[in-house]
Amino acid sequence: MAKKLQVVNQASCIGCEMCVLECQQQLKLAGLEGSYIRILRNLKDGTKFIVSVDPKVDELNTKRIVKACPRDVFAELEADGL
Amino acid sequence: MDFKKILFVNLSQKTAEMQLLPELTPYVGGVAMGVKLYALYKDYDPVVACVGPLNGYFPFASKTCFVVQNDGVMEDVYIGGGLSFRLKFAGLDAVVLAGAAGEDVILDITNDEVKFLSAQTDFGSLGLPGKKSVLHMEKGSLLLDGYFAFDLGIVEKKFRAKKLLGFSATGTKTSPIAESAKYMELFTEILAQKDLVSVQESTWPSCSGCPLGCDKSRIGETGGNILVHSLVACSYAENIYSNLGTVFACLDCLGYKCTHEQLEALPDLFTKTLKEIA
Repeated sequence: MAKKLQVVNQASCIGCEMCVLECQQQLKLAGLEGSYIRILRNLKDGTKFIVSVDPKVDELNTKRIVKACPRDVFAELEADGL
Repeated sequence: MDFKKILFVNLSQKTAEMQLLPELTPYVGGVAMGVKLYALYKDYDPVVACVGPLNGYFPFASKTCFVVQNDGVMEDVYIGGGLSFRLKFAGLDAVVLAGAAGEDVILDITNDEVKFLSAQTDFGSLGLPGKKSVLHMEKGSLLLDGYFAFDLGIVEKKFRAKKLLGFSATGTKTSPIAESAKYMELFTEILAQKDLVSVQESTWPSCSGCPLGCDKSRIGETGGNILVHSLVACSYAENIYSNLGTVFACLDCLGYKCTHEQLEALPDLFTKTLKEIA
């Protein structure tokens, strides 16, 4: 069964963007443009982040993305959500 | 090494231009480049915001350096958050904020383009989501991305004098990683040295490129090791980035053709530049 990357723990995100770096490294790129994951910041409360994931992320090695996050924000789930 | 790419913003004239300065190459980046830029433009009493060659690429190279003159003393102060990534991926090595605006102004910087906006502009409306950092004045203090701040209040004092209420910086450029295998090996090696970083891992908002989420991230440091601050690495990662071999390997793999001698000469170059300013 295909695996999908899911955000399972957004509240734990610390905004380090290690996931963004991992995505871009897999594409052999440096930069934020075109990343399949974006971390959105909240100017009124800088302790909270929104993790925005493009479905194309599942084309990448999602296991490595899960591992790159220090706060277990992501998990690999079966395509049917289990 | 490549030419340094400097965004020169003249607040008095509301103009901005990209400058390519080959003479900055020996200064590597960060604080060494920042004081040289201050020396070049001292008549404007600039605020110089600089990144280094490793920002956006390697773990713990996560700060942005601000060089200012305060009551006749050159000061280098640092801020964390995501600004270093945004400046780097805007294709910039430094932003020089020169002169003073006639009235309160907000800057919207996207790569090398600058919009001069009125004080009524909503900071939240600026830049591109996920690719921007916003530094804005709130209750007399500059706050980056709603959390990160400077120590000492020196940068705030300069912003007030320049009638600059803050800026948004957006970076939309990408570049291929040429030596990808070597880069990944080094990246992994440095990340594995997180125990050498002199902070406790925690759950606070972290700087881009640092997975540690430490309680020191909120307030940036001041002064310190010239090599580490020329890379604009976190000063708590000094045990990693004061190692010349590590630094040389990182620079080499990113295509910077400098020598060990150039890196060793940085502190002297820095001191010499400070004397020029004095």
